[in-house]
Amino acid sequence: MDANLLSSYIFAVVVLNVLLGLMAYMTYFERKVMAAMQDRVGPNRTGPVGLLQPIADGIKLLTKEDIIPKHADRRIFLLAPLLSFVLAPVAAAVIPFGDSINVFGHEVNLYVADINVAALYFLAIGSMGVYGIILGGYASANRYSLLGGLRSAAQVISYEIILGLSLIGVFILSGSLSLVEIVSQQSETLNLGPLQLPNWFILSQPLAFVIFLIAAVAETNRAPFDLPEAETELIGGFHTEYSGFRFSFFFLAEYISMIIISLFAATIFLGGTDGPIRDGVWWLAIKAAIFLFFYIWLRTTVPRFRYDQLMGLAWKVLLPLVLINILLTGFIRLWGLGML
Amino acid sequence: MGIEDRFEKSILTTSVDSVFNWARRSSLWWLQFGLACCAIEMISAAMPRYDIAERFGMLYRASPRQADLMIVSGTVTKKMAPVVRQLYDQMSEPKWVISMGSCANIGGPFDTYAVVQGVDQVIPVDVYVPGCPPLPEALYHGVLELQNKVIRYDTIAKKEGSDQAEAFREESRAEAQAALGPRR
Amino acid sequence: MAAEVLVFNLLSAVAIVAAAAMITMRNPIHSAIALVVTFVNVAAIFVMLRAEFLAAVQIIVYTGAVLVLILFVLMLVNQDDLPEFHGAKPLQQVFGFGLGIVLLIEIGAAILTRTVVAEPGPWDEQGIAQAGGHIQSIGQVLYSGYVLPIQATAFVLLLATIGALFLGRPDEDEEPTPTRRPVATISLAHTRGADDAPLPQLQAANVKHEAGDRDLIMARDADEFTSIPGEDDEQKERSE
Repeated sequence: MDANLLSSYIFAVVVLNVLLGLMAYMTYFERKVMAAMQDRVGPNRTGPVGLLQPIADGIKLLTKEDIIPKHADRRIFLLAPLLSFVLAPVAAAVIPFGDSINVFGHEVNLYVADINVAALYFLAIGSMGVYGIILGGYASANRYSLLGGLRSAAQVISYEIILGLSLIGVFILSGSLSLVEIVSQQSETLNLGPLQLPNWFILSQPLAFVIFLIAAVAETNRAPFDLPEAETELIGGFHTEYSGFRFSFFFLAEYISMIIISLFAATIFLGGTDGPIRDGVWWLAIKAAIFLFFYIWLRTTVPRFRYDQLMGLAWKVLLPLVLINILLTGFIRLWGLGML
Repeated sequence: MGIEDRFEKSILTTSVDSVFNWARRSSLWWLQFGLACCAIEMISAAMPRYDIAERFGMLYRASPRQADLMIVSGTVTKKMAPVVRQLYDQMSEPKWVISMGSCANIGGPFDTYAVVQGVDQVIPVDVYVPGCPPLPEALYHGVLELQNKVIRYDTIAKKEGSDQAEAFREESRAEAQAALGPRR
Repeated sequence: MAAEVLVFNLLSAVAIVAAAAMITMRNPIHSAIALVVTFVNVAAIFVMLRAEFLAAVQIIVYTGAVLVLILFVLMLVNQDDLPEFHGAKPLQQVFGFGLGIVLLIEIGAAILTRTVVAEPGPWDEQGIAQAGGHIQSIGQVLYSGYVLPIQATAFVLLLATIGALFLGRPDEDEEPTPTRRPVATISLAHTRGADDAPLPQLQAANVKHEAGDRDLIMARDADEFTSIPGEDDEQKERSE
């Protein structure tokens, strides 16, 4: 087998395992940070400082009884959480964790694949993730689950459009869809008179960055856009009827997609592995951690949006803004290229 | 129930049993089920000062299918009793019930035509927490007692089989009920 | 090469089986999922043909949007409202079968005798590389030679959106349907003193009326008036 292919596979396995471990501890991180923001303590009994809490949660969920409702569509009921959980980390295949390192004389690329439509691949996998939600809501044989699933799906596909459109500005400026290319372009410096700034796209596309953040929060069904699965509204939305480890698939799929979108946002807008002192994967980790903290911060601070306000925000406010952003970016680019 | 029945009892798996044990009691997810004034105390126990909801790894979930523990807090009326039963039936095994406050224990001060005299007429209760309403510390004591019962239940289930464990549970429920004293 | 052939055969086999499943499944939701599988495999075949952009767009647009919409509609439709399909009449069946056989023979003949051959178009590897890649070449072609179809498609989509908005607008406010039974306001009058003390007289004008005039009835006891005066006593019997 080709050495490149083999190293890609091995790197993919490594990334997957790291992501799965991180996702479990993301739940712990969230509970601790939420607690700190609410003047509480958070889990601190299970293990030192509560570090073994995610493991206890996971084991407990594995040992719960597995209930399948009688009138549920059995095959789809079993399929839906798997779809959510499997498609979530697949999107991490295009995120560049660095350039390449030398392992035993072979050049190993620190990304699983460098596709020339990498950002579109990411959006495509994100748009496939909505199936877990719809099918989960449908298969539960519970009309409130169905409604919750449909609401959730409508929200996700609306904000997917906004997510994709907000990235077009970045693509116009960088001229490429490949994430490796985008990261390497951001490591150049921008000379604005006396200032020497890195060419991060957050500086050239601030509006798109804000819109992307809002759309990312809505895309992963997180607060304040989590009405479809809010406890006081629809009990659990599409995952009401799931118990035990199937529920844990849905639960964890949400956290994985949070982590992946944070990595993606860090790659596209904040330069990825670019850093002032030495380029490396730790800068990417720090930037992604900032985004994850922002997610949790948003959850504890802002009240929930009502569903019609949510959809109104997407279609009436964000969509025009993002189209204006594309227009402006296009003009500025043409002006810069002298083609106006 | 669950995957632990597939493990044979051997030296290699006894430590696994204690892990399951520990996991079950460290991550009790409770069903938000506040009926009346005791619910306010339950909520204040979940607030920063006492933080029952996070410190012990307990998390509140709205869907009964994802909850292990049901804290019945408040007066159970006859209109609400079938709802309580239905929610209890919808919870997935293994499940425990804490009855919080006098009304849920024996009907409280309301000996009327509309109040069920104790939620144990409707569902089996494991721990009774007295008080009107009980202080959050009392609820804590109840939760810790429940954790002890969980540990003993699991230990007996592993050592002697699930029948013995169920028998132990029935016994402890009867004991707790008897400790309530003579009823009206 | 052999790996490519193997992968292509696998992908097309799954796609064909899924497409066949789609037309034969009873449950429409299962059909939709089978269609998802078909689309994903077709996207994978696009990737094999080096058209990655098309593959990504296929997944984003077809599976991610069109099929989700189809699923929405299927889920909101009550299964019992769908008309029953008892199968085609015998004449139709024979005709359809015959036409299908003819189509199969034609396609088989075209493939096996190699009379239908694809010819390369004006864009070859060099041309694509010169334009700067696949996406750039698609962009150049779309927005120079095919501008009119693009604008026409956008216009059609706009028409569809406007049509949907028009069809979905709420109905005009009509008169609220009048209640079929006369409605009265029953007021519990708390008497002080003996049980047979006279009930206080409240001015009927003090009671705000929302829809039409309502009678005001003073009652001593909550169970006294469980039926509206003028109606039959079945309600009173039911409540007792």
